Amino acid sequence: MSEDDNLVPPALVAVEIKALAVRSETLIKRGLALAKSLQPRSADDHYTLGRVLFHKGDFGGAIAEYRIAIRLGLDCPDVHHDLGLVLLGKDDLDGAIEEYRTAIRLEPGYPNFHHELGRVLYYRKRDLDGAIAEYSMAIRLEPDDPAFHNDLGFALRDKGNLDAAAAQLRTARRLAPILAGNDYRLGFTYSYEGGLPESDLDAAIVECRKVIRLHPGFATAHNYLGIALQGKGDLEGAIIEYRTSIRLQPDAAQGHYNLGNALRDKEVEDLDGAIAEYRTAIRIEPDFADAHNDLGLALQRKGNLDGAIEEYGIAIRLQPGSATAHYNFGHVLHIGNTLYGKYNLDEAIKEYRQALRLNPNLVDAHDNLGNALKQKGDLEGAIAEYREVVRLSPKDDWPHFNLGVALGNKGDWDGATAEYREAVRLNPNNDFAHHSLGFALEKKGDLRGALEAYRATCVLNPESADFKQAYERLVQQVNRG
Amino acid sequence: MTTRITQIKAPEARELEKKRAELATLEARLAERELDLATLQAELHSFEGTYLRTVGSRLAELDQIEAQIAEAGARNKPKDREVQQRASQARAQAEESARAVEAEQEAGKRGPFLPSENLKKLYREVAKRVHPDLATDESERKRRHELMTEANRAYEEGDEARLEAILRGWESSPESVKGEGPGAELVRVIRKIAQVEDRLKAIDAEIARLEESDIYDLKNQVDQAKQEGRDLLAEMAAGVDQQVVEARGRLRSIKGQDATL
Repeated sequence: MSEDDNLVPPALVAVEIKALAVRSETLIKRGLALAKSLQPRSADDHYTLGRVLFHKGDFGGAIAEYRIAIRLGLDCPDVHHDLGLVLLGKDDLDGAIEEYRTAIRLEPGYPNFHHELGRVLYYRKRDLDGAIAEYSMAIRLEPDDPAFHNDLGFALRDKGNLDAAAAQLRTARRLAPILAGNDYRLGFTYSYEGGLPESDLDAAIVECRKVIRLHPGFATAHNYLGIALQGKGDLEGAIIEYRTSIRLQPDAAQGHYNLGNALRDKEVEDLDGAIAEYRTAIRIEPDFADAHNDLGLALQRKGNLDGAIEEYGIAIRLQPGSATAHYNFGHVLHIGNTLYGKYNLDEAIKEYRQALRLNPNLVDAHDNLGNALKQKGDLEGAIAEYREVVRLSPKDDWPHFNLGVALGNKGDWDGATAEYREAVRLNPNNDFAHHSLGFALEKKGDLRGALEAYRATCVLNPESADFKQAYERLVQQVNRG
Repeated sequence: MTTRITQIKAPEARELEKKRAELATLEARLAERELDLATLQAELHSFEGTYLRTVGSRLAELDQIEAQIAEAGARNKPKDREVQQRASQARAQAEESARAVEAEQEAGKRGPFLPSENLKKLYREVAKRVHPDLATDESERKRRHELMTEANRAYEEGDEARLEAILRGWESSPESVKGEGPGAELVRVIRKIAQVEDRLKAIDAEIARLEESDIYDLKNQVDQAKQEGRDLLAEMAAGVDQQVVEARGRLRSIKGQDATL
């Protein structure tokens, strides 16, 4: 093993897939038309198929089938309601509302249609007046459903009509005492919105649990409990709480963002799940800079560097003073350049420098700026950056190791030896530091010292063929000479 | 949150180990997806043959009669450009259909594609070891590509012996480790992962494309009908036969004579 950082030749382009050669597309198309003509479906069949497709998650297919069913004459409220539901899933809010209204027109006396329309207007359109009207109609038709009163209470609260809101929430409570934490919704304890006592996560967990016991439907409390649990390393618990808060308050971007972060954690590493949550958070709140930044990180980890670049770009536009956003932007350019020959290394260096101007103590930025400068052949610049890393993280062994490598690259074997010795002192189990110390000592002509260092690597990592080879080579050399 | 670009800093054995494990998992997945794609292609190819023999041949016959009808009309109206054009289009269609059916007949009758478990296992093994996207240089890749093409053909033809021979003949030449240290090796493994991921994406895209194709849709309908106890291809053939009879009648009336076509 040498200490060069030479890279392997450029990656190969993937082998093209040989497409299936169909003999006659026209004959197949005609066959398909013929087959379809032999399989007539009734409006009911289309409706049933639509429901099956909806449950399978094929929203596009479901919409097409529901519409065919309606065109074929199945003009019943359920089809319009179900079509509204699936349009909602496709984020076609206006289309969904129109279908709900058609369902109501066809069956005006069914309270649930009014209630559902009210929820769409409240959560998705923020049309409070519209929501209040629909909830009120639902209550007129079905006065004993606590959910109707509860939701009307929230909408009235948001309109600032607190007395009327309290009356509705009290009714809801009377009808269903376990229902969501209405007192909190009324703003009695909004002090919780101020955040958790960071210094004492255990106390925060106890507090949040107390609140949730009394008011299980209080989304914010679940969210804060999730944050506290995540802070304590209980990811599974945190994810459960975030999901609960989302279920209770699906239009709150923060809940989706927090869940995204938990799913992105290396212990869980559900990157697809995390990406979906970040995207939902961004859909709700398009200027959510942190969500763009963390979506970038998730995409980057999935290998979608172009996607990551786009997100970091948005994060920087939204928060130009964020050192982290500039660092991440530089980092993805750096990775792309090093691994795939994409993007410009100078651009990466520029972003690292900008990140450091905004936050001179960003250790990773110094470290990677050092790496990038080394790749550009600027060893002095790299060494300066590595020295900064050593200054900022004096108790970490790797910065000394990196500095040692750079000094060795420059031919400063005394300097390299000193850094490797420091790395070994800080972490005696760092086999690479032992090995590189051996290499530096060998360069300095201290074969005995080198042999000792190489022997240490073999003890620490007996599986490594590289270490064994270096040791045996030097043993032979010493024996010969 | 920030991360470090570990692959270009100090050689980190743990990271390399992790990436190698990731690569091994991806290689296994790649073999599985290659098998999925090869199976789907072979199934569709086989289905196309069945369809062309049962329905396509009848449609070709129908096209032939329709072309004759159109040409008879064109002879009666030699100056009507629209009629002339319709006749040449009908002829072109008839020729295309005839070509497709003839090509299928020349290829010989194939049964439905029903790969045995052993055949699948052999193919999976070949894909895992020989896959061209696991090569790190061009000459190595060329060799792997040729073997993989042969393996694809053997799989579609259900030729287990040939797949076994490919496996036996494959001598895994260890890819030369150029000795730049774990840092460079890590970069190499990461690139390989990227290559395999690209290939997986391409396979997924191709499978998705096939699943959206007309032939897949048609096969699906035939399979679905079969589950309901219906032979949709036979129904379709009967439908075309009826159209052929009607077309013959029209041609006969145009020619004013008994059609002995």
